[in-house]
Amino acid sequence: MEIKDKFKALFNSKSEEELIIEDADILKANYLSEIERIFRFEGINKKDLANKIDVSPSYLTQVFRGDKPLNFITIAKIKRALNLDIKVKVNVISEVKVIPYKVTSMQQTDAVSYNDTTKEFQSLKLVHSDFKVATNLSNNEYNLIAS
Amino acid sequence: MDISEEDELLAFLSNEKHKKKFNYIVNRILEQSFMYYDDYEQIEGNITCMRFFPNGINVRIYCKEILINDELFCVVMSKIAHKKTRAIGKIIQSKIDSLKTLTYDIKKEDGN
Repeated sequence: MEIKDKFKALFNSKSEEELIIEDADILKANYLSEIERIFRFEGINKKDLANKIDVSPSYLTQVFRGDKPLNFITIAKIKRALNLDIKVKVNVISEVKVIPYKVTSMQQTDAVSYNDTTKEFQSLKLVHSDFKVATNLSNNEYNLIAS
Repeated sequence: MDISEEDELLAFLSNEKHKKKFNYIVNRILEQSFMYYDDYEQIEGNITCMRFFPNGINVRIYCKEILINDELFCVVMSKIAHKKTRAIGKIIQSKIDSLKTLTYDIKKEDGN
């Protein structure tokens, strides 16, 4: 079995329940990525943020690592603590396009002996975003909303 | 995925717990490329690291980021390492060093 088939076998055989959990993780990641981008821009670390919203730093770290669930109370606390304007945009998915790609690797110092490592890689999926979260600092003169 | 570590990478990712974490990391990378966070850190330049930690595991997958035609962002999983201490040991350092000299070329498959 080729590498792409092995990879597909691992990740494409998901039950409906697994797909829902994965979607939930993506939604959560959307919020967290945006929030993380802002507090890094502001030079705030997770420990400071944890203090501001009155949770333990280890809890916040686990939330950002995906090891603990994120609830909307925590998002609201972060929103207020960092003075954020959080916008949510929802679109109907119009198309899923699959683009097959190949990966080849080559050692820069020894190109000849590595030429035979050319192999087919997995197909990469371009999936249209279906649920975007944009975070902005309220009353901020900079435009920080991700496109 | 680098085929030289294919077996070890796939064996690691076949574990349900690891697979779940992998999905989470990948989803965050794809949502906001070039965004680095706790479990996806930049080592130097385009060399990055997926951290599978804690929950009883302490594994790193070292990766190389590639941007194709300024539009397709790819993360190639290159080297897997089981960490035992916080410090980067000789074996892991040698894997990172070897990654520095590797280049990956990604092309559309013929006929598509």
